[in-house]
Amino acid sequence: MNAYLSNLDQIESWFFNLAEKQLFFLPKKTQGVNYRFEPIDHQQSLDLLNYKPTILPPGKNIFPDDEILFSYYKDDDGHYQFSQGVTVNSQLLAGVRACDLKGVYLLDEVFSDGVKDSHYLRRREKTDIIAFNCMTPCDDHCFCEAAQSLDFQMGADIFITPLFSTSHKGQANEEQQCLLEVLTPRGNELIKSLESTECSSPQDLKNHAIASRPQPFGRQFSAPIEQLAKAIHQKDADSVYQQYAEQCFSCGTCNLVCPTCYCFETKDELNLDGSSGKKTRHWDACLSPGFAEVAGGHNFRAEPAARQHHRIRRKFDYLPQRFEQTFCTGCGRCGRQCTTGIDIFNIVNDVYLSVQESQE
Amino acid sequence: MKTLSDPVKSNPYIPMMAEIQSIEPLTKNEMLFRVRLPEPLNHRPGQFVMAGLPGIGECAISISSGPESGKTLEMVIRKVGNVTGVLHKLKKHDLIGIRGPFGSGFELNDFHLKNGNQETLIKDIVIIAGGLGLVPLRSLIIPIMEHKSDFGRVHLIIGSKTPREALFRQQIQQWKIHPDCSITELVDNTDFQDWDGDVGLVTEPIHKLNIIEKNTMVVLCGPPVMYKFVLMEIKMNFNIPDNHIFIDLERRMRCGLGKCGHCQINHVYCCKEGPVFRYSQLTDLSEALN
Ligand SMILES: Cc1cc2nc3c(=O)[nH]c(=O)nc-3n(C[C@H](O)[C@H](O)[C@H](O)COP(=O)(O)OP(=O)(O)OC[C@H]3O[C@@H](n4cnc5c(N)ncnc54)[C@H](O)[C@@H]3O)c2cc1C
Ligand code: SF4
Ligand code: SF4
Ligand code: FES
Repeated sequence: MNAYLSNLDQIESWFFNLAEKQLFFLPKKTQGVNYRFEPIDHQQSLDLLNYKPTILPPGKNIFPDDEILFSYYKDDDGHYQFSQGVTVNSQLLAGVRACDLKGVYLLDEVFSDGVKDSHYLRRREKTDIIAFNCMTPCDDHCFCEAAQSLDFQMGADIFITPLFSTSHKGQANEEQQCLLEVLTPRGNELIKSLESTECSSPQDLKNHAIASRPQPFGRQFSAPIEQLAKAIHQKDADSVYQQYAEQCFSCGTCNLVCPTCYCFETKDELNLDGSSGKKTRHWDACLSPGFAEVAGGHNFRAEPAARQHHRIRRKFDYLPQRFEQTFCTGCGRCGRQCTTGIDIFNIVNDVYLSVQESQE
Repeated sequence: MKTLSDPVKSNPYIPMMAEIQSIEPLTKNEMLFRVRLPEPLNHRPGQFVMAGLPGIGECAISISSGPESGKTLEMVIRKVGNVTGVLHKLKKHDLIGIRGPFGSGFELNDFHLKNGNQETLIKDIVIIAGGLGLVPLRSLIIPIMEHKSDFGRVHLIIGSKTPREALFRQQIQQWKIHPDCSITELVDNTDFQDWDGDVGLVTEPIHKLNIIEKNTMVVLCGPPVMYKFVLMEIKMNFNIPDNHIFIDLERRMRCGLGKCGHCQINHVYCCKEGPVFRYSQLTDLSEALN
């Protein structure tokens, strides 16, 4: 597909323009520190270069908490009448980082596998994504390059790469050239309203920009991810999981903020009239104690270490077996937001090292 | 067929509403529900449904009727909590929500005495049920009994805690008249009630089974604690290959579609790849029999 050049200033005005026509989400600093994907407002300075990963990943806009699975009412004859329950509006997610784009891509895979998840897929159909590549690691927590999600661009309608050094802050200006790769017909529609020039050698420009990035880019594991995954698959490294489990509160925050966690609980709700209601689904966390408990009280993962083990293997072993992709994007959210500082990067690294040690 | 264009039809969470034909108390906490579905389930033995009421909730319930039951579905529901508590209050002609059938279930072909080429396959079928485990296995036992001449010898070992909890005793009496069918019924203790069966755990009769090991199929369903001991007893006494032992497992289930994650046993979704597994599928799964 086509590629275009434009500067950051023009891109910002383009965003404000697009926002007038549709629901438009962009990372926004709230309470002075953290970023969240929120509808853009005109007072906002866009901060496209330097925003840190949002508290929740943008994929949660497609897989919202409290999604209505169906609603129903009982008619006068006592028959149940069901309906989908919500109309889905189109939305545009802009400024999506490559790691989060990969998160969305993985959810696309999951929800179109087997019985199609029409709720997710319907929202996804109506979601446009303008992604924004990273030129510097966002902070000490990210490890996107090691997790193979840096430069990931599948699933975006437009993928933007800044062609200048992004490390110094300041107002957007005309020297700040960006490359915009249009990846879908929908992207072609969107880009029409941007002031830009067509670019004939996008790959060279992109390669050059990428080559000028700091290296290594963010934290690196002790071995390539394939080897880590192998170690995690081969051996249970119980003592490592145990060691981390001892610090874990089982609060489930790490699950809830993760772009690739999609487990859910369902809830049926009855309206006050007693004859209508709905079924909803809610994000759930495999680290919370009751996740695998059944009637009668038997808990298939009663120990925190068993739950931590499950989380790690789900991301690096179980889901990769089905979808041939690591289900950790290296976004760093879980480590950043864990109440006690537990970082999945350290867990998988330690599992690898312990397996190495035991084989020596 | 399901397409994204019709939201309601492509919505896998919307149940079909079935009319209750009869509710029969089996024990203090268990009731047999016979319901009439708008269309046949076409299920395999060992599959399950999500049963419940919109606005209240739903839970995984085994299909207890045989595969030839058409639009009639039989389920045994034990009252243990919110949803099952409400279901127990339903009456004849009330509606109940059903989604499914879900899961792998059994292939009856795996149990046949002979295949098309008249080659002898399975001479002995051993079915061991603990407590509510008889409920799903009944969907397998029924078609075996109905077509008994297609199958070899059947050995049923059925255990309950006390005589009060013993299920389907009348039907078990009828199964006993079939040729080559031995049935051992046990209770852990008689609790001062009349009992014409044996007393003891389901593990106890295992060593006495008279079977041809390499032509035997074993099927187990019961509470999680049962499996380890029963498997140990089988392995100690017989040389039956792991892929000839079927185990029906329970997990927490919310969607039935391989999505919500609750039923996962290592990388396997119990709701999709299970709840019936061959033991050979489980030996690599550290979470399967814990
Ligand atoms: C494949 C399969 C087949 C089954 N077949 C049958 C059958 O044929 N007959 C039958 O009676 N049962 C069967 N069950 C068990 C049945 O699904 C449960 O008994 C049922 O889910 C209980 O639901 P409830 O709402 O009545 O209980 P709940 O009110 O949900 O409470 C029961 C227990 O469930 C757990 N629980 C439920 N919700 C939560 C929550 N939000 N947080 C924490 N813990 C929770 C708790 O341990 C609680 O003690 C089967 C289960 C499976 C997986
Ligand atoms: S596991 Fe942690 S670092 Fe990996 S994708 Fe999830 S939140 Fe990001
Ligand atoms: S966020 Fe930290 S404390 Fe909470 S469950 Fe995850 S690892 Fe445990
Ligand atoms: S019950 Fe939801 S994944 Fe199996």
